[in-house]
Amino acid sequence: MCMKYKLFFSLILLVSMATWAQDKPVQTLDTVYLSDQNLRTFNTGQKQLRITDSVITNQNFSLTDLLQRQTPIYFRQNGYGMVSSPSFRGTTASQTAVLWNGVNINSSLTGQTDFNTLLSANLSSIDVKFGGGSIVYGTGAIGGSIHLNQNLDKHIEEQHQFQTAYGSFNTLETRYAYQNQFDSIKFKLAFARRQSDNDYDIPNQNRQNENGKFEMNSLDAVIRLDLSDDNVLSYFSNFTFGERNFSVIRTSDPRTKYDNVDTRNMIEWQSTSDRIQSKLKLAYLTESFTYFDNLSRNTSSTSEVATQWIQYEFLYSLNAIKLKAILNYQNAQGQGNQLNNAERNIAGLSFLFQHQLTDRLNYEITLRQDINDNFENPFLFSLGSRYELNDKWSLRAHASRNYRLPTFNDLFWFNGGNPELNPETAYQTEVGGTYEFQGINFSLNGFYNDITSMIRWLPDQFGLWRPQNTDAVETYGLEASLAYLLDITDNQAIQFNSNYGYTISEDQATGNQLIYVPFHIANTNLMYLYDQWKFGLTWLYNGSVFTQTDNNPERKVEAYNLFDLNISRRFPKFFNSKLSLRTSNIFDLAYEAVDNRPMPGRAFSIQLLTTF
Amino acid sequence: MNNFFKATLVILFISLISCESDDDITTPPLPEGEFTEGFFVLNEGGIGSVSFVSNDFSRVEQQIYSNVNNGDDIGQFVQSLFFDESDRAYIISNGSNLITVVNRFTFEKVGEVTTSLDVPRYGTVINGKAYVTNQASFTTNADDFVTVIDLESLEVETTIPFNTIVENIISDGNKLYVQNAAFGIGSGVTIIDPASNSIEEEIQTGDALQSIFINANSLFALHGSGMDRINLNTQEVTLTLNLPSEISGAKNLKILDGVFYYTFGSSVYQTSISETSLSSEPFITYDSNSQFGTMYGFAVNDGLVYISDATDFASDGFIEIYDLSGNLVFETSVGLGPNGFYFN
Repeated sequence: MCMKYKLFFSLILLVSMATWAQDKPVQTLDTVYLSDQNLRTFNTGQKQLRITDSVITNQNFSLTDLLQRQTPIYFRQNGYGMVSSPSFRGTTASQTAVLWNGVNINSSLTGQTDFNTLLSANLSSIDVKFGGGSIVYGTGAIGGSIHLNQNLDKHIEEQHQFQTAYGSFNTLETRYAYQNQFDSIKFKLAFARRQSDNDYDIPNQNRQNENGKFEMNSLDAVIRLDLSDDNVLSYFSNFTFGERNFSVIRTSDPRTKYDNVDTRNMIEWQSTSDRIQSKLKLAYLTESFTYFDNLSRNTSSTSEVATQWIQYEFLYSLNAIKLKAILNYQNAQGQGNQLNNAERNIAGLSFLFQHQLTDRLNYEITLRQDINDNFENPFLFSLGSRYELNDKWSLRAHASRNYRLPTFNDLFWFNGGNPELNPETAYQTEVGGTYEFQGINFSLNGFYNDITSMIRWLPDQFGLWRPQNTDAVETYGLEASLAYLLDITDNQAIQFNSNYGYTISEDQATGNQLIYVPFHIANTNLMYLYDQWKFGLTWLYNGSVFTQTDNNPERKVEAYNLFDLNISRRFPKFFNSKLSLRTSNIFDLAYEAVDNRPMPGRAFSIQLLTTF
Repeated sequence: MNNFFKATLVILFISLISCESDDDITTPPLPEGEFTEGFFVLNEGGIGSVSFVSNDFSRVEQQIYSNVNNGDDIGQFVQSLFFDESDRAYIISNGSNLITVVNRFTFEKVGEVTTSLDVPRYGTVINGKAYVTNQASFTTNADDFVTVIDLESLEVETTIPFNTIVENIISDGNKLYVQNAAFGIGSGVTIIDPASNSIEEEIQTGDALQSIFINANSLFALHGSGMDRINLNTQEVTLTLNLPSEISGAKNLKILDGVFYYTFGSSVYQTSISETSLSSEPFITYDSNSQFGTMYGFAVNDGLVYISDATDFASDGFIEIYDLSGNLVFETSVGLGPNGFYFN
């Protein structure tokens, strides 16, 4: 009996090894299949952070809420649940790449991902890669990249998982996941839904959030077929559809709504031999949205993009050397009542070379050249190295050139699109170190980005807004993270992790800080585990941001501190369940994330998770 | 550094004293409100705001509406302001479908209109009623309309449907004239009869109509290739003034004391009303780094020319004031996207 509990407890501990800063290539366990293996094998000299499934299931389904509390990425959220765009290392939203199982899913229309259109619930892990990654991940990987992964182990057992939460503002979250194995076929199917009236009372103001109702659904499938010991065929599928009203500032504002339907399907074949691994990935992605600019008259506009994506990866390992070639081709076609003949073909060829020079030192050199029909193709490269100073300290350095392609809206917008645009390019360097000893993991990074040809929409002499390659921005700063695990007794433990980011993001023309980039950002998660109980406290700090490019100090969104409390208890005998109570913004603080977009005060929710 | 700081303080102190003594000398018996002697600059926003500048330029105040009304605001994308025949000002927010009604001298809120508005643009008053143009959906002009508001009750009396785009609306005291062109696209002027609240007539003008203005018994319509002079009795175009092609796209037509004023790019032009061709010789040119925000607001009043610049629409804009000889007499920064001047 006692043994059983101990085992169970150590299991909890194991899976809840929260977020962990990593800088060394994690050895891919044979049993965990990750579609995007470059994340593990080719990341020399760069910091990575992983959010595990236990952290994911412990939160609500909002990807924005999760990343705000676990990473130093700033999110500009236009009111709770509304459009949410990241700024990573002081860059713009379209300079953060979002990868779904290794495929770049930033919108071809806007170049960015709205983090409130994705649910975190059906993901098995999220990796955050700091800094440039365009060589493997293509456009937009300048500030960093966020990797949404769905893994399927080599051996799985039949499992049903049911998760539901109900909370303030009539917020309901439901998830059901089923996995099983029949001979060599394994699969996992999951459905998640999050809906909310989102009609929160606005602290310190005598009004409610109006027209903020939303619902988001995600239907996911992962199927794995082991053809032989060396050949694996996998299929990944995601179908996301949502309906969101955009909240209004004043009652008389026009009520608007945004519906999105996105599908992502990918099939891949991996073949492994002694020294060679070859992988073919074929993906078909669609994105579509309909924006209703005034619900009372029901006028709307729709845009759609379909992308065919193919990637072939060839990895050759020889003792201390790894060589990889990646060939990528994609064709994207857009249509809608506001786009002109939107089509783009991109082909890219990358070479990656990694060498473990000595036991302590390795380095990596990567190159990429694109060939595409629309614009100049920058030549990209990266150099990275990692050195183990001793068994506690390791040092890393990385330099790269990355890019972001103009979006379909930039190029083909019916009323101002500029087909002459070139990609934005960024040179980047960073150095850092990690200290790991007896449950402590401390990491410090300094980075510098020089971004040129940044695209900005400006009116031309006829008053027509058109995008132009005008801006130059330098961003630099520091990132620190600290994590600590302490086993007090057999059934007691403390987990702590904390992130801090200091960012300067300077417009070269004016010397001013970019708007909506905070100088300081920090978060801390403290968890105390006792037997079946878990007590968690989260602190989130967002520094003040300028809302005007002249940095007028009167026009700022003020800094805010949020505290969340999370208490949960496991009931192993009752369908292996877990009951959680969560309170967010426990001090009911009034705050805004964007000027004039007040956020909710204290909110409660109760969650039940059962696995059988 | 320290000395510099001290010197600055001293200068500041002296200038403060001198300001006060000026005030002492010129103090007239002040009427009913804080904002009687000066003009307003409307700042479009984001959330719109109003700046006030006193006639002697000694006082510049930002965000006066918020300051007077406990932090309340006037809505998003404030387009324009109009006065009525008594002491009220009506501020139109096209992003919030809102007209905020204030006392023009104290700027205290006295009411609001929020019904039957859909992207409202401009308004004017005749016979105790306000007529406000609405563009509704940007994808079609067939749903544009004019809202008629009773100013006594602030209730909407009726709406007048249009089949063309509606923008500026002006009155000669008898009829209302609606500009059927916006953003440099469209042409024609529609006449509304306020007695029946219906469309009486549509007068054709040249293409790419930019700006309309009434002077004496004529309506002048500045468009892409010239300026039509329309006789308001006969409702006929009697003359078309030539517009040199190098300033095609000129806008912001104003007429004061027998002189046309208009702008193109960052320059102001003037031509005597008796001429048959518009001058392309600028008499004021100011420095602007803004592209679309150049001459975002323009006015001529009482011997002075008022220019506003919206910079990049994400920074405070500025205004410059010139005399009729083209000398700069005052400049100051204002709010976000300054788009108009209104005089008390």
